[in-house]
Amino acid sequence: MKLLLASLFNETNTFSAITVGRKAFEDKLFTRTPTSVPPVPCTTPLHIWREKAEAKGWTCVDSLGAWAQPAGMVSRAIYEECRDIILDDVARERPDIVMLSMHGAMVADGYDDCEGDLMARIREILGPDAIISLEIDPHCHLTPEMMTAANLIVCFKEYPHTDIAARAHDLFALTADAAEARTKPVMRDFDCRMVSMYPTQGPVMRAFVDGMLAAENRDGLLSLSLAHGFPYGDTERTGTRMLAIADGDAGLAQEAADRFGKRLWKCREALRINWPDIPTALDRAEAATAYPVVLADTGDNAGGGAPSDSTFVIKEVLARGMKDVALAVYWDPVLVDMCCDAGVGARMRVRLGGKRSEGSGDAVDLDVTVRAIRHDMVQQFGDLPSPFGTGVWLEADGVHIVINNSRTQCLHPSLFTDLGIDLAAMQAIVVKSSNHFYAGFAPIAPEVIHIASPGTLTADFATIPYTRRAPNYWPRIKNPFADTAT
Amino acid sequence: MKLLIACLATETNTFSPMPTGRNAFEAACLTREATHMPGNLFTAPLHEWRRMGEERGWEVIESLSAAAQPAGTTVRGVYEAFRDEILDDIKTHQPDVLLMSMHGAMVADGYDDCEGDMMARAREIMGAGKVIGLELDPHNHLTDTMLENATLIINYKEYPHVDAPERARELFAMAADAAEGKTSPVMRAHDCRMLTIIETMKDPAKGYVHTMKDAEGKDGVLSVSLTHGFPWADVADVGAKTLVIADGDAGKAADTAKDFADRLWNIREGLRMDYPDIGAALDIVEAADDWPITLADMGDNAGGGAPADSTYFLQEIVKRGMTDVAHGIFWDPVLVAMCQDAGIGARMRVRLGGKICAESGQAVDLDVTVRAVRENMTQMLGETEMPLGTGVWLDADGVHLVVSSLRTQNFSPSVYTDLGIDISQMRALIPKSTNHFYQNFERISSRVIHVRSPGTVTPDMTIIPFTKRDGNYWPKVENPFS
Repeated sequence: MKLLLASLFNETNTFSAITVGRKAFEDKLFTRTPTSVPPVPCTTPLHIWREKAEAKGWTCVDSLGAWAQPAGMVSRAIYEECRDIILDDVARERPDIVMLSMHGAMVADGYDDCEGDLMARIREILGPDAIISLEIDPHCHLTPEMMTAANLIVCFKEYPHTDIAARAHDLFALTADAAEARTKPVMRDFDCRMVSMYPTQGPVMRAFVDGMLAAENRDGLLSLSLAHGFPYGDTERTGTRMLAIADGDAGLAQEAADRFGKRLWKCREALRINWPDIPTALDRAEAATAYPVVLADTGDNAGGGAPSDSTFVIKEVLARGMKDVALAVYWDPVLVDMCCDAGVGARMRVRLGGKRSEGSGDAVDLDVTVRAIRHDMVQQFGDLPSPFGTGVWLEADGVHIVINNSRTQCLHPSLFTDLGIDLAAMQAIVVKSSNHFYAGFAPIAPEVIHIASPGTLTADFATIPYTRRAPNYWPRIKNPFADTAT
Repeated sequence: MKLLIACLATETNTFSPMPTGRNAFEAACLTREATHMPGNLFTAPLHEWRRMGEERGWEVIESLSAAAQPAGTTVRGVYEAFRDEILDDIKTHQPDVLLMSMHGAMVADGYDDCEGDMMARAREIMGAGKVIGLELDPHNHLTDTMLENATLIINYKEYPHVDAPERARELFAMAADAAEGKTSPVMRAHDCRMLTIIETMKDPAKGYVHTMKDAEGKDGVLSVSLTHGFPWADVADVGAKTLVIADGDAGKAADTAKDFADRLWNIREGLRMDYPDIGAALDIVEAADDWPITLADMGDNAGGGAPADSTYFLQEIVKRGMTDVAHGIFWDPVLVAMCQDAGIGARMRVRLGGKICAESGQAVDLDVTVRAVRENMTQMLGETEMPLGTGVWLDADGVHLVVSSLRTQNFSPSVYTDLGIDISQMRALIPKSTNHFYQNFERISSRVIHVRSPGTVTPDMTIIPFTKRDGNYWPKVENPFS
């Protein structure tokens, strides 16, 4: 058997004005030898697949490994360049199996469904007998093109995505069974007609994920995935879909997809996102008696394409005169360079935040001390390392601010502690992230508060100004199934 | 005689957002062997002092020479380390004469008057009888602490500062006379209550310098200096002052200082900087029929420590709905990278300017088209090719903005033409620069107007946001003596 491995990974916020081009990939990952360089989350599956395939005596070929931090639309030029690198490799190597790690919500200029486009072209080259497997982020747009072209699609089940490696193992086993003719996978999905976020740490989603895991590998059912959908990508297929893979039995796959999809729909009120606004959240933090309270600035999550430099929360923190507050992470490569030039111990007046878009809010001028500088920082995301770039700790009279030069969301308390910030002495920690922070921060926080902060990402899913996605979804309308007999 | 020589110099624009750290000294000058290396403005005096000392058979001990390009407030630990290194040398060697080359407007975090602090600590070690001579740039803040602790202070007389070695020789001669008991120097200063830029290559300042020189060596007057003052520093002693050293006669020194202060006051109209503000300058453009007119955005000159991203001109242009205007160079490496990713022809909403410090003004949100991107651009300053990194031309519906990845002032209109902007079709070209732009833009402009825009290095002496000195100075008030 010959296996070709590739990763082309980007989540596209089509409402963001920042185009993702070649530099955005070069800034994060752009390599022809993804399993020969240290893994990042999206190439971790490739490392696992190579190890398992080589253990079976298969031949493995690396193709492209590329990812960029989410922002707006991917340029047509860089998407086509990346796609054609992979297609050229596929055409030259003619593998029996292609395993891909992609996001599932990559939109390029002219391509609403990059994953579907790439899958279809690979299938065209390799013909019907090759096995094409895809591991994707649940914040994807699951399309008919993807499902037609691929044999196997598996989403991460957890949000925070702590199970990228576990799902890579699952997908390898499914792929090997199919390639070695032990199974004949068939995929079917169910449209939940919902657009929302589904953190899996709450009891309802926890039970749902555990339910999926328990149902797999039984009675001909091979795999279950919930495609949460990515609310900030405006495509026809945006929304939540349940995906099931069965062994040779399309009816069984459809029945399972329907059953789990309807189960999610029934839980919707318990899953409704109802986060407090900034003043309410800070009131709760100030009233707390156990510290540190962790607050998520969800409106400015770089992982969803936001600039990670909005000032809405810090302005309120400063206006209240709150102390012993740590906030992260403001993306500002220029200020990082200025701090490196000034050196640790420098006191300076800096202009912080508000620099990239209207969603950034207004800049804040602050007198700060440069308390620490650290290069080549890394955050743990589950078991996986995620690069952070150069971090700087700025202290403004009891308000501790972390800035960096590589745009990323906050994933782990180590981003503070590696700079020397004592989190045990903090009353509140504010992190720019929607939910991935939860895996790392929940263990140190007596209380976690998601804030419905303004910015690039709204938590009000009913009002997202879609132009391509039909409005027939909950919570925009109360019952999008009114026209059916559900 | 034992002579110890040292140099610790930088000019601090306290409004600049770029702190001066150790890197800035390492990049410019940081050595204990300055007299064995080619001299710069601040170390040239040490070369003179070593030569003159050795000619007299003195023992010459060389301490630290540390100098940095002008920028923002010096980091406290960096200043203290350099100061203490020099003080340790003074303690160790106990010289009869200390000669130092400093700027006079160095501000460190916690030290508004680095030179005064240095002098006071040196005096404490050396005791009252020893000679301390200090050579300064005239753009200094002359303080009582400096006057009380130094024996002799002398400023360069010329701006441009072409006379540092000559003043160094004078200072050595005065210090030797004092150390050998031939003179008893006393210093007195007089506050001129003025703050302006004084160019000594042209009258009336040229004549004023002659008059200072003529007064020296007569009637017991040993030296006459004029402190021009350095306007972009928020310290208590900012402003013009006269300084006279007389031999043993404090009254003579005070009277002469007062006399020279009066002389400066009397020539003030010849020193007035009469630049229009942004509104008046744009009025001229809108009323003109011969274009392009060049308007210098003087307040945001990167060469003076400004961020090169202020928006005062841009805000007014947008408000007026003016078009056919080219303006640059905005420093924003992040936006440059975003435009490179978006590609030529991309239509996008950008947030421009206002990003580095309060003096940058408010950011401006604009819908623009990326019209050109060019890497490794340069512009000429005289015969020198100056880099600006990657340049981007953003077209905001007729307002043409140039953004760069490196921070630099705008020396030449070639930056616009190299990106493809047809400057002959522009009504106004607005370079961020104080004066280095002049030659290259003058050639292609119907008219050149220096504009007293706000910003980190605004030439408008009346709007600098001082918090530590009063507003009782000309030209902020027409008669500060009333």
